[in-house]
Amino acid sequence: MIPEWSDLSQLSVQEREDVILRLMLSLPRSSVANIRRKMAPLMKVDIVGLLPDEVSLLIFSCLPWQTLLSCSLVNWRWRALANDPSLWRWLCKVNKWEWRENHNLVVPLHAFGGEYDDEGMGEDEEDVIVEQMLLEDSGFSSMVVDSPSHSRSTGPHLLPLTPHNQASLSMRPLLLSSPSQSPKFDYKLLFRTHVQLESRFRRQKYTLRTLQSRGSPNGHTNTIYCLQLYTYPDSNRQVLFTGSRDRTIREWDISTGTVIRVLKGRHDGSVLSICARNGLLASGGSDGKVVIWDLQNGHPLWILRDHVDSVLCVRFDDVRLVTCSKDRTIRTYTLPDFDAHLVLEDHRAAVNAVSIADDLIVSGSGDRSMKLWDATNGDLLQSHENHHGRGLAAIDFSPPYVLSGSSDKHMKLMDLSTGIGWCTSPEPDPEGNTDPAPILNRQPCEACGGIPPLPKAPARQPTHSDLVRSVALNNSFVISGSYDHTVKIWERDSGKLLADLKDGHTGRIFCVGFDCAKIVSCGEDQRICVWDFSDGIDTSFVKL
Amino acid sequence: MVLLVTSDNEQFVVEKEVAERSVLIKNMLEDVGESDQPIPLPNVSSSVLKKVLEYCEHHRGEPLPTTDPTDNEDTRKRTTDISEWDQKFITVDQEMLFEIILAANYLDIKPLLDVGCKTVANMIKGKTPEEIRKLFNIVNDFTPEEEAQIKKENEWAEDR
Repeated sequence: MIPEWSDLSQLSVQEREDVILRLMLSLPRSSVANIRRKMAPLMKVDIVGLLPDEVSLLIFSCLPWQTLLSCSLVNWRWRALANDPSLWRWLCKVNKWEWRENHNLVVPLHAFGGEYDDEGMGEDEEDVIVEQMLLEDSGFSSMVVDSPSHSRSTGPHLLPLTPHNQASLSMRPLLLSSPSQSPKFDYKLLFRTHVQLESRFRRQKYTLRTLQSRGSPNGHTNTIYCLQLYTYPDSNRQVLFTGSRDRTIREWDISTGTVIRVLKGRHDGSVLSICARNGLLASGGSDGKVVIWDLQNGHPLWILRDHVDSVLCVRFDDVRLVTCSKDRTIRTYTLPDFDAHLVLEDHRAAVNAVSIADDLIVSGSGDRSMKLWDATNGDLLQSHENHHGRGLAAIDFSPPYVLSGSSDKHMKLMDLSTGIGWCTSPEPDPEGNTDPAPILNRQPCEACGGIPPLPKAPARQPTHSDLVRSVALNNSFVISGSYDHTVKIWERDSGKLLADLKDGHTGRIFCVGFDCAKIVSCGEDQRICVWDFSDGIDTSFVKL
Repeated sequence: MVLLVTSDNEQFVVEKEVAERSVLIKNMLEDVGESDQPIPLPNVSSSVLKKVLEYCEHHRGEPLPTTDPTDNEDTRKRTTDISEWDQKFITVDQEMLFEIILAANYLDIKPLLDVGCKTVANMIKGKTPEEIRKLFNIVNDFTPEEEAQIKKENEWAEDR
């Protein structure tokens, strides 16, 4: 006899549970299994959808962004959570992707009449060779972009939204970004723009422009040795500085390709290295001088004459200026008055490049070594002898990574804390000869002798076929410029070659710099190339 | 010893050190001082509390996470690594997982909340929207037009 449902529903949960259990026990096993299959969906809980917003967001904060996009397609509730600005703000933050301040004032990079001057080098080749001989075993460095770790953070844009009202806000509009909405608060848009730009870097999808070619009006009249992208802190206007064998420094409007001003009259030789920051520009020359320029009025503030030979690289941050020279020394000066502080002497040949971060200095020298110094007291913390098969020409440093380029035609990235990294060469070659297609490899740590894990898939790939004169890195990429006339893009973490930019220069490349939207390069051919990866993407709100 | 009373009126006698893995209980004990008063936990059932106490027992004596206000979401380690014991502990049905996360949130047991959240994240990671719906028995409440539009919005993710 089957009891009435109305009777059963009178029972307590516990009693009903007992009834069902007794019934189940009376059934053959196949029936129980059948019931279990039918019950399976009832055992499922929309955990994310039913938890309080802040807990659901905690779950989502553990997900990669690609999965967040999948989550946004599950249902409305999930979509609201997956679009929550706190998640995308965090993703931007870990990538150091920030809003540009006053972005409305910024004219977006747009096309201008780039002049493709294909004239080769020639009549003054002898002069160039003399300069290169002067810098034998590898010139100086080049890393150039504003270091994001030192730049001002842009915190104050954050709306004081709690996860709760954010979620309910994003419940409504299906359209992510209506034109009227300020993109400043759309962290997903900021993130998405960067992903798109990075994808363009990987796929080598750029528009090439030249700011100057040989003979351009008001341009440099000789080899361009160094460049740096610089954003004025007050206006957020981005410009390009270049330094040349013609003894001048020029400031360029990147969007129009015109020279804004010329800093000159203080160097009696080539301008070999520049560094611009916080309204100041430091320049080092083959005359052994370091000049500190006030960018507000273009006047020199200090002239430092301590090096007894060419100054090959200058770098400064908020605390100190670091210079290195063919005279084998590194010198430091303390800001704001540029008082001489330390002289670091351990290299046995010209110090071609320095890079600084967090009170640390890394230096690369013609003596094939890379050294790490404590900038506060001059202590030599690490010395990596035979870091390359030949002299080091370029260094960039973004703790814990040191990136170097060398006369041995290779590049090496090393994590200073573990000694692990990659090199485009299978092993340091004392002869400087290189396998045309070397095996990508991880180098053992000279300092600790630790055996690094083998790379998962050693890949044969093309590398530079001549001296790597300039290197730069960010969170994702490594950029290199070489005497082989090419600029190459590599994946920072693996050393995989992503793009080979061949069609820009007709001579040796002396310097490269980049930001999230473009690469700039210059060299012997007197060209300044702008490899713009942002064509058609609005980057007006992106901090470059 | 501390006396805890669950939503279904079951009583648990627990060592203070174990019960104080819950910041909520710890604060309550500090407020009332030395007292034999039972602590009511109206949001936690006995079956869930039993499970939660198992976790607290295993992790007793470990340092509690800092409550430094600057140590917020931005410094939180966003990995999905879970220790072996925790992994075994959290291998439960979805309902229990849901209840544990809710209880950990209510009782303010940060490490347990993290384990629960990471576990759910690991279940979701890499899945397609349809796989996620199937996993949690979720009804798709988008119209086909809405779904198409969101798919279009997400196109930037494809490496093209």
